[in-house]
Amino acid sequence: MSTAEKIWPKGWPPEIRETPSRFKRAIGKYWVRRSSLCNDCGICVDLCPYGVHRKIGTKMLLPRDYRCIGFVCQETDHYCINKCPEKALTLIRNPMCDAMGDKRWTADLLISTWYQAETGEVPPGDLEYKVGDSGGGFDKLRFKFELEGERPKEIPDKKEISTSILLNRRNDKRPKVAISVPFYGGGMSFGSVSLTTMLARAKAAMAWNTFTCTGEGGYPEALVPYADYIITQVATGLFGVREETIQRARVVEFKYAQGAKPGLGGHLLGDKVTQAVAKMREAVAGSALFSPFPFHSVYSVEDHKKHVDWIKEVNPHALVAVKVSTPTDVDMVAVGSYYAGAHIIHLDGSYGGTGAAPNIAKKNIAMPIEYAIPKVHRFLIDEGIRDEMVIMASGGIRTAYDIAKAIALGADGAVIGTSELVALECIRCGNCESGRGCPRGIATTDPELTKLMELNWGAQRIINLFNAWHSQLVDILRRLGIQSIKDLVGRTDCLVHLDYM
Amino acid sequence: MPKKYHIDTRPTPPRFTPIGKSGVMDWRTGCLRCKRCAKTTCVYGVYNLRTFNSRQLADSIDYYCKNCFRCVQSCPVGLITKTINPEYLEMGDTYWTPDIISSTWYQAETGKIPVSGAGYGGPFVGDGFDDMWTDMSEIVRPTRDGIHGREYINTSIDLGRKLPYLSFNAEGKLISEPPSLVEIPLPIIFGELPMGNLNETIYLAIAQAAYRLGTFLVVTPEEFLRPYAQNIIPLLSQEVLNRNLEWVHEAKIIALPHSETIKQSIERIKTARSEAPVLVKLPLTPKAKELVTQLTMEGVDIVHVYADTHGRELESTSPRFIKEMVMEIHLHLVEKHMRDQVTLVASGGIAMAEHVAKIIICGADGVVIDLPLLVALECRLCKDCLQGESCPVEIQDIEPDWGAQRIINLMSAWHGQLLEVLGAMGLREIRRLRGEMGRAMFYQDLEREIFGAIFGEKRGDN
Amino acid sequence: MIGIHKKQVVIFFCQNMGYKKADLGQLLRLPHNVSTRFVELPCSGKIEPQFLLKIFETGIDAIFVLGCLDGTCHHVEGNRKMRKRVQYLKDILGEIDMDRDRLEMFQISSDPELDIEHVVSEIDKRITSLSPSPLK
Repeated sequence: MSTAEKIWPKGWPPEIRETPSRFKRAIGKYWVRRSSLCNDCGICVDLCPYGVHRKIGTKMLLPRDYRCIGFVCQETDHYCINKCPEKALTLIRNPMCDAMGDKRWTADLLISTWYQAETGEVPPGDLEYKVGDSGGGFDKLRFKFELEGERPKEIPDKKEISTSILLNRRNDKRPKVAISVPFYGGGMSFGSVSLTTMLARAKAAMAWNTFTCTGEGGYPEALVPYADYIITQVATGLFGVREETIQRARVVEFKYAQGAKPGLGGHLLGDKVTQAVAKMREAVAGSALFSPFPFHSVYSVEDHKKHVDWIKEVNPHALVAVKVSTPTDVDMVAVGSYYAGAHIIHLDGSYGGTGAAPNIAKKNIAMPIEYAIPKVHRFLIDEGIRDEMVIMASGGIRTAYDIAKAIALGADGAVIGTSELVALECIRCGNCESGRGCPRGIATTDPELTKLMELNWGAQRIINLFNAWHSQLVDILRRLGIQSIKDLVGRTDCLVHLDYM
Repeated sequence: MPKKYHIDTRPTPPRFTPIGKSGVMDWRTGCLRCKRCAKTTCVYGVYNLRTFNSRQLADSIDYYCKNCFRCVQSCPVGLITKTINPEYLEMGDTYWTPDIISSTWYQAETGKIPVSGAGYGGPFVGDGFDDMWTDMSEIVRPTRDGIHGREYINTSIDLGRKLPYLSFNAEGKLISEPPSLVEIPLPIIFGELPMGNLNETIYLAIAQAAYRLGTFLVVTPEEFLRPYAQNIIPLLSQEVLNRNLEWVHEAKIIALPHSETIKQSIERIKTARSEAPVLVKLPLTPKAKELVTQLTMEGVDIVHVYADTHGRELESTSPRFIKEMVMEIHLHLVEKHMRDQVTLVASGGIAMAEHVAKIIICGADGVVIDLPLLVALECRLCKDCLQGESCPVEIQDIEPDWGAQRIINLMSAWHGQLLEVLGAMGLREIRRLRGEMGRAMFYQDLEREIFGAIFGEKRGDN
Repeated sequence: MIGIHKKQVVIFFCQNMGYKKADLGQLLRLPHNVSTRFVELPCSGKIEPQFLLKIFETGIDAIFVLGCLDGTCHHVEGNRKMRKRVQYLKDILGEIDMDRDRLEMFQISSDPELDIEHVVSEIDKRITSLSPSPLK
């Protein structure tokens, strides 16, 4: 294993630039307030290494308190609250944290993801960036090195560590596509998200030599320059699927089901079907679009194989990914996909998803991804075909630690969606479907709301987030004493579950 | 194919400003008077719609705001902040959470299925109904596409007993007489309300909803319900039975509370009117399993088992949850080869559409609901009425038509959600879902089977 | 319901003060001929000035706002802002020839060390001395 194995298209690593929030006031975990007692002396400006306090000329600006590390700063020698000669500064926990986020994406996780997207680095201070508060699954799993006691031998040199994975492990003479980080972007269709969002994701995928997925709403022309980093999706509605879109792609994904609404079809509200969307999907503007569940032509593994063969025939160089949800027999589905000739089985767990879905489906239908990964992994090993299949996991993977845990449970890599949107300052208010769409201009086709976001800003935010994740993944591998992320697959011995200790 | 079941919904706005989750704090002092104030750019126009009801002391901003935080982040001096409305957090209790109440209000108002983006945000697993997931099918199993009406999914169930076998005479003629069944298009019956400042109008609203939906209302009969007699299951106590049998002749199904003398009461009804199915209302106590079996043998057609409003077993020191109780009763009946001779309906703790599907998976044929009806009529579950205080939403003054439409809207939303669950499982009949425990995944099983194999023995719950 | 023959008082209080509705009812020992409505707020600074006037319009006799002590506001400056607003509104009440004493803000906390007896007696005094609202 050497560094040569890594494939980086243009320079390594991608350039990280500070990309602050597009809104006037970013939200942080703490509030620093400056009272009228302040006499603009500027001591705090020199004191704070995080750039909370700023001064222009002789005037102090409002504190950038989202950068403050909070009460842990008390132990350092740059705690501005105590050092202020006029006692003009106050520090409290941001009361808005109570109103933000939920059990899975806590306010801390949202804020830390924004921080990583802004700076490209792991957040300092006591901001939680690894787990949420859902009380099960990933949130109860820890790597052994995170706990006291036994520590594996660490690798001293980070440069020796590889995070690249292969997406084709079959020896079928198709290209051995490799991605440099063990995750790629999940499908978000044009129509459900804005073109800017899609392009930002594509640019970030190109910078990190990984993929992003078009979703089922067709392949906008603007994405063609990034064609090498784009997975095109063939979903039940077959919207915008053409021969040339399939021939363009290095990976073609079949969407049988999605974790947000397992067993249910897609539904794009009439309001969101603008002229551009309708053209892409070859439909009429203003009328709601349904994509059915399931593929009405697939009722068996044989039908499934016929589908895969069709894609392989249209594009002899493409890899085929199969996106399925997680029913009780997900292991059988995975084996079926192997025999149908797929390269990648993409398991989409029930708690994830970015698109609008009925609450009853998100909560209740299909099992969480944490159970599905080991189930499929073990079954494929027992069948003796694990070495030929690539398992990608998604649906509730929020952080770099979630990715590493998913891999240790038996996946090869992860597919992410919500995290990228959070990097673009999604706050997970869940109103993607109501009115004109996303009020923050991410998941909308409303011309005015779309203007809220700039392409380069968005791309850089996602690149930054990936950088933070990459460094965390490298750090995890280093501390586990593992040289390549490929060797982490199925290493459940590296994990502990807090309920089983 | 039967005529498709369709529920007519109509937007039915609430009479009072509902309690919203958001608490917007808007401070003004220090305002820079920007030309393009963050408030004017609100996508939902919350600040323009904002009103104040000085009688209720309710600010409608808490209801309209959708928590997108745009104004919070766009105001250059940070004058707007947000919290959660404390009144929202105080609604209901640990089981009937504020989220359940406000989602029920939404469904009663619009008749639509609650939809949101960005994944599920709740805990990984919870108590009661929250520790199971329903199954779905793909590729290797057939699937259904019932949500948008392309394939018809039937949600009707039969109330009444079915014969275990048919008997024929020597000529091959059928000699056993099939008992009469009553079919309802939804697996949901309405029940008596456990609290509230109740009066005629409220029951008239529910009865009207039952009539328009084609289902029933189990209730102690009163004269004013006579116009809806075809959709009432009269709950007749011993005294009423002794007094007169008017309702027995009028109703399609007759209900009896469980008592020591239940056998005589059943006989009395059967002699007066042999064809009408008899429903017995039985508390879910530790003896429930034996009692259901016994009642079935005695010829009861429908057993309605009820737990308390949180779905907990009654008269027990360590109450079990209704889901486990129903599962046990169902399996016991299956073991005794008499499951089909009785219809089992359950009530208590049924708060959301998913609970209907889950209790049916656990072995019930249908459910009886009570509190959701009250919540549909804007009840805030403050329980002030239990202390004899007045109702903050003046529930006693509703219009029956308005109330009936709210309930119909709620049922339409629940019906839609049942279709989602059934469609995902590839079922076209809710009757086939009964007792299909293989169509569900239980937390304990998954933990043991998957994490147990990796991490070994699970730490005890103590 | 608010009875017509009783004096009607609305008390707004902050949820972070440490008291709940029941505690406050007990603490303030309001006389029986007063009908009181307690409204819990995320912060005393949440209530807007024009809304307070609207409440007076419906014929309420008095409004008291209970906020946190200076420097302990959960939202840093909500109580300070509310105090300014109450002062401003009292001026308006004076201008329209209503009793300025109908509106007051008190800053208390649940700290047992703190003596809030003067607040209790002040509220009591205000209520007993009030004449019915001229807007009723």
